[in-house]
Amino acid sequence: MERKNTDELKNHFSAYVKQAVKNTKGHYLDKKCSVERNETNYEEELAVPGQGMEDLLREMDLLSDKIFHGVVESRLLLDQIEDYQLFQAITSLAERQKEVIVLRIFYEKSFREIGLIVGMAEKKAENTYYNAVKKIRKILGGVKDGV
Amino acid sequence: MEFKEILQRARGYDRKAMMEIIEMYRPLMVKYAVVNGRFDEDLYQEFVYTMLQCILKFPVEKYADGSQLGAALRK
Repeated sequence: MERKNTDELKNHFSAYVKQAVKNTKGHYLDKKCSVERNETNYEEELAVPGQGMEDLLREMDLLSDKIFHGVVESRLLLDQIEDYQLFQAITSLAERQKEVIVLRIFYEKSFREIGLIVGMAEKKAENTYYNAVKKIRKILGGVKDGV
Repeated sequence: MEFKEILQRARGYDRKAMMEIIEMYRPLMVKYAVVNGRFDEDLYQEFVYTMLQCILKFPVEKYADGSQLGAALRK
């Protein structure tokens, strides 16, 4: 009788443990799933459009095509700057200066072309560019050769 | 040693008895810790924690004299 009793207790305990383990597994997997889901979303949000270098280049080509239609997508390009200070310095520039900087550095245009795209004289584009560089240098607190 | 006795001692925070019960249910935990064909160590550790909670929370009184209660009900 005693033997049967303890066996019964063990069976009950086993069932209890099994259910608890199942519940734990359910909760654990739910938690893991939701963590993974949120992680991917976060990464997708952060990712620069286009994964590899090739994609980036293709995107740059696309953007430079747009330029000839008079659209300058400076924001996307500026987002690629990793140095936070530099990024801040550039974003603090006037809209016109920013455009000239983007065209000169990212698209490697001549001042003549920049002048045509932005709608100013070649000389003015050149002056705007050098003024902007001077301003960035001042913000970063560097000397001429240091930047 | 009877299971009942081991359980009683484990509930009294007897480490050896606790380990004995965990060992007893190790195969069950290992079986459930396999996710997508891979053994999940973290999940296994969660199970060990669950086991300890089970040992402490299991309502022994309800089942200890279950047969007596059953007999009483059958009367």
